[in-house]
Amino acid sequence: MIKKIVERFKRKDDCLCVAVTGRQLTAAVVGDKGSGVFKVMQKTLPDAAEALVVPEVLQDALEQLLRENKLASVGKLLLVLDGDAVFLQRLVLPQMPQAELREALKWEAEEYVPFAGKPYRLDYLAAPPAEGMQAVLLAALPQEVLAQLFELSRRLQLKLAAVTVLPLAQAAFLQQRQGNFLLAKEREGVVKLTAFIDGLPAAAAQVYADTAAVEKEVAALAATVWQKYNVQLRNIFYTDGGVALAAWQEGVRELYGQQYCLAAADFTGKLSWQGGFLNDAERRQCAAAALTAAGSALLADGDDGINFISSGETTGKVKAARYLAAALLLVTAAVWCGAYAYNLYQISRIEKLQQQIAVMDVWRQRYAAAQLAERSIREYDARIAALENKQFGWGSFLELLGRTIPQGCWLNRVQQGESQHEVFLYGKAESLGELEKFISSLQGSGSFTGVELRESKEERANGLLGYTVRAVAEGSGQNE
Amino acid sequence: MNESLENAAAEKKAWLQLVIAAALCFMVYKLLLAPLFYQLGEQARQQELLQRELCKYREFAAAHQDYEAFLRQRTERLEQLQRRLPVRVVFSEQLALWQRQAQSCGVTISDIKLLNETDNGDKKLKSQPVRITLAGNYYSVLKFVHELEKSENFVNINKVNITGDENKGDIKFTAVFNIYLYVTGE
Repeated sequence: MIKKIVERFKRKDDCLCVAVTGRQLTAAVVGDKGSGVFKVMQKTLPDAAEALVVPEVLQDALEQLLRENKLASVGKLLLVLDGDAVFLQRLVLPQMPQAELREALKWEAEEYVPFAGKPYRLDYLAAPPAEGMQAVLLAALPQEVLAQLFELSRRLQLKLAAVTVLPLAQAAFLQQRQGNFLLAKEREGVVKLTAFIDGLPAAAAQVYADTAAVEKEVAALAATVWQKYNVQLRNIFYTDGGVALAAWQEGVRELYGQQYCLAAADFTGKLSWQGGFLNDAERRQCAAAALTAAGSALLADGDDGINFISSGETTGKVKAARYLAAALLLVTAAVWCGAYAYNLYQISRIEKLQQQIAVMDVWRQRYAAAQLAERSIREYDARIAALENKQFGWGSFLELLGRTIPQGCWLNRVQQGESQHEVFLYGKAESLGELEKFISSLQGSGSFTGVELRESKEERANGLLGYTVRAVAEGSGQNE
Repeated sequence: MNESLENAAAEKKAWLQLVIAAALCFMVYKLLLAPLFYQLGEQARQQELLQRELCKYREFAAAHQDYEAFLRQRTERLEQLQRRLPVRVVFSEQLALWQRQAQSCGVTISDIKLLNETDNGDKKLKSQPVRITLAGNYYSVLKFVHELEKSENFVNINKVNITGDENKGDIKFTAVFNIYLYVTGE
């Protein structure tokens, strides 16, 4: 149970490469980034149904394949279509920049692609230029076929990583991407011959699986290529699992007056799968069987192949834009969620505080009453203080006069001035000394800020000294 | 080629998605987030006020556990102040009080004249001046003035003129006594 759960969350990086040639289905599980071929499977489809014509047949076959082989780590699907299912056209064009080449190929496709006005998907593969010219393989696939393949991958819950074509997959596997060679493959009593120039399929032929007939056709095809493309084919790769080609031996062999280098599709040492097989014979058998499918993995790995599916790898700008958009939405959503949650929290806190205040209702009323009383007290205090500040303390002043006036000094009149704190004292003194004593006593009392003699006049009739003294009390009015 | 064509479309699509996302974010901000932030600010203020209020009540309750005694003390203080600045004074009663005080101090009130109300610059206070002339010996007058200053309601003695009678040894004390009334909000 736990194992199943773990497997569900495990990364599914392995790729199931499927080559479809008529009723024959070859599949290989290739590790992430073509790191190795883990398993090779072959299946013959039932009846005479063509896999691409009846997609359900292909789907059933692949489902069965996945189920039987327990391919849990497979997450991607790579489909290799037979040359018959795809339109391929080799063109020779003047050398031009890539952008111009793309535009030119759009126009060329209008002329060559035979899908009768139906929408199709284009891709191309250009060989290295030579002498100002370059060979280009133009490939086209109807959109409806592609849509079927997408639907198939969706149902299988696999990501459709690539849809490519068989001849290129074969060339890639043989490591002949830029090579000129001839590939012979026997299948169901028929030998299919394909001539490659600069790694691109240029011509093909079919012949019954008879050794002599095959050799004759090889010579004919080589002559055709020589005439048409001025290229002499020297290398022949063959799969040695059949009847007709079993007679061939690896090495140099002369066929109809021309020498060819024959090589069986034994790829020991070229890929990393060897360790998985017990002996050379098994390894050889699997290598031949996996030729198409495993080659496709190599093809899909690079940029220089035909692939009707965009790789899904987006440019840096696209990625940045998508990440930024996602981040914006995510941050906004997160901020909103956070703010909303905080809002709910605040509401609950406010309700709680209101409940606590409601519980203290008695004290709330008492507090309000006390505040009202305190305000009144403060108002009264402030006004009384202001009034007391303005008032002249007459009680204290009269007491002070009674205490400080000397024996030889009399007061006739005391009058308050314009200001409440200003007092004029009128009187008589026996001598100036007595008057000075009086003034000094007032000054020394500390109740006045200023005591000054304003007027003194000697009265001849009685020999006394009439005087006027001005005293200014402190502003506080408290004369104690 | 296939990829290049698709990449251009994918790039356009990605930028469009970014613009849509930005527009969506802006709308969410304007319609949902901005009002929510405003609401949060208001809630924070309300919460702070409630917190302070609750704190006040708790502190008050803790400080005045014997609330009855506190209330009594504050009421007494307020009543005392209200007597010092009364809301209403019956003039005849006030005169009678002064007469009694003058008699007890040995001073004679010879002249009383109610003057017009004066503006003292405070709308809450109304002052009623009364011109009074007293006669008596120096210490009797002094005692009377002390009594006035100690009286419950506040009296401001102003415009004082004291003259002495050389023959009798008495003095004549003329002054304006200001009685203050507290004006309530009614």
